[in-house]
Amino acid sequence: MNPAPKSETYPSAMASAASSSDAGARDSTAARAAVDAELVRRMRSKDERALGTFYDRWFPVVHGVVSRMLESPDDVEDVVEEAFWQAWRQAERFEVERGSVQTWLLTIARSRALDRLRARRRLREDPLVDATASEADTSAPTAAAPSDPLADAEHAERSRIVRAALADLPAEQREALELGYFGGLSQSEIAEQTGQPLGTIKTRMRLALQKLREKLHPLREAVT
Amino acid sequence: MSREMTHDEAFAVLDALAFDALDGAEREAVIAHVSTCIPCREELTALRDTTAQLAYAATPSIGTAGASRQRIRSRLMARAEAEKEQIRDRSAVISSLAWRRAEWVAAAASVLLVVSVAVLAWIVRDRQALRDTLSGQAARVAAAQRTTDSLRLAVLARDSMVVAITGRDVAVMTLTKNGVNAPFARMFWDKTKNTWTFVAHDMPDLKPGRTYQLWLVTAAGAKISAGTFDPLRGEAVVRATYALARDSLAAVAVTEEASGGAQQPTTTPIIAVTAAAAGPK
Repeated sequence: MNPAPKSETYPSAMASAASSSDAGARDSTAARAAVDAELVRRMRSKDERALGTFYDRWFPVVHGVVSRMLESPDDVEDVVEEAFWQAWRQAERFEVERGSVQTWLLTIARSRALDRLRARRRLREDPLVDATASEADTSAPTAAAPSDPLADAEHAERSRIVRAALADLPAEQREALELGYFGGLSQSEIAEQTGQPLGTIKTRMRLALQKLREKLHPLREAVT
Repeated sequence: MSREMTHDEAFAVLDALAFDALDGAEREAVIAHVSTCIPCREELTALRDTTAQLAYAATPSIGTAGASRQRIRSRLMARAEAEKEQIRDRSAVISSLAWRRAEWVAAAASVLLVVSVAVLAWIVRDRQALRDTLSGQAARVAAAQRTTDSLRLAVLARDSMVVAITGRDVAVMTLTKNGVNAPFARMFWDKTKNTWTFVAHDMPDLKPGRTYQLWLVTAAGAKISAGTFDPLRGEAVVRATYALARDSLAAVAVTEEASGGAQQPTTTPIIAVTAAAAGPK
């Protein structure tokens, strides 16, 4: 049986922030997209400093989504590392015409997390394997990692807008989205887990995504 | 094998594909359609942009997970450095191999050059030898041709002589001298063609500065030189052409004279014959 993803509450008051600051969000988004595209271009040339900067900019979001999807800190660390490593190795495959850096990186991160999530589920179904045997020792003292305050602020703002948009959705639509996105469940599995007909789940997800698309449109990164 | 989807069918489930929430066969069918449909591809790109933003619904790890953040960063940078090192090493190996290969190529080129020069020299020498052989062969052929021509001329001369001594209108006279081993000769006079063929045997050796001279003596007492000759091992042949009336010949004689011959005989004939002695022919 698939575990329910971790749930969070979304303050509906944040939803209004999206519409009131559309113009500012578009400017900020375009500037951010340009910076990311330049970093990926340098990563393509195997510029390690670009990788460091890219990691510092995107760690909070990547780590956040992976932590939401996976329970084990060990798995989270592994998957976050593998996601950035894949971005480094495949930077030359990134085509700006086919999408933004944000979509590219977050798709990679979610795909790696889904792989790990599904692997863990298979292990849990095997009674001979103790899935909780390995846990990371996160207490080891380490030097503070560099961060990108501006990027962190943008992430925080964006997070508020997205969570507000989700909070505006009907609960059953939000649940379907969460199970699909963070839980990595197929529509059939969501129908099974929620006890709803498959057609109902499909409709809920489609409606939810349409609403999000309208609300989050200003945050979409321009494809340059 | 999955069933081919219509555009409407595929378009209706693009949102699920953006979520990666489709099961195997259906997922494959939608992806197959999207790969050939531009509107679906554009719609899927937009849906994926929206879906990716759901990542922000998870609380970003700002100011948290510091230790984990640093550990991952250190491992990433170490892997990137190691990879770069590998690339550098590989480049160095490739460069080294390239140099080594260049050295081999240079060495091979040098050997090839030396061999080519040697072969060229050998070919030049061989051509020269062939040319020399060809020249020698040509010279031998020319010499053989000359010999053949000479033999042909000799045969022609003999044939001519045979004709000269066996003709219907040929008078034969024998010139002798008394004594054992005395020289003797025969004169063949073809009265029709006015040719004279003289064949001598057992002629004594001449002293240096001396020669034999053949004379035709007419009834009027004139002595006409028919040529000089130096016998080889006592043998000699003299041929001459001189028109003489049939009844004008009185005698034929051979005298010994100084080299180059004389206007008139200066010594006693060594051998001779008179026309009367020879008899009518």
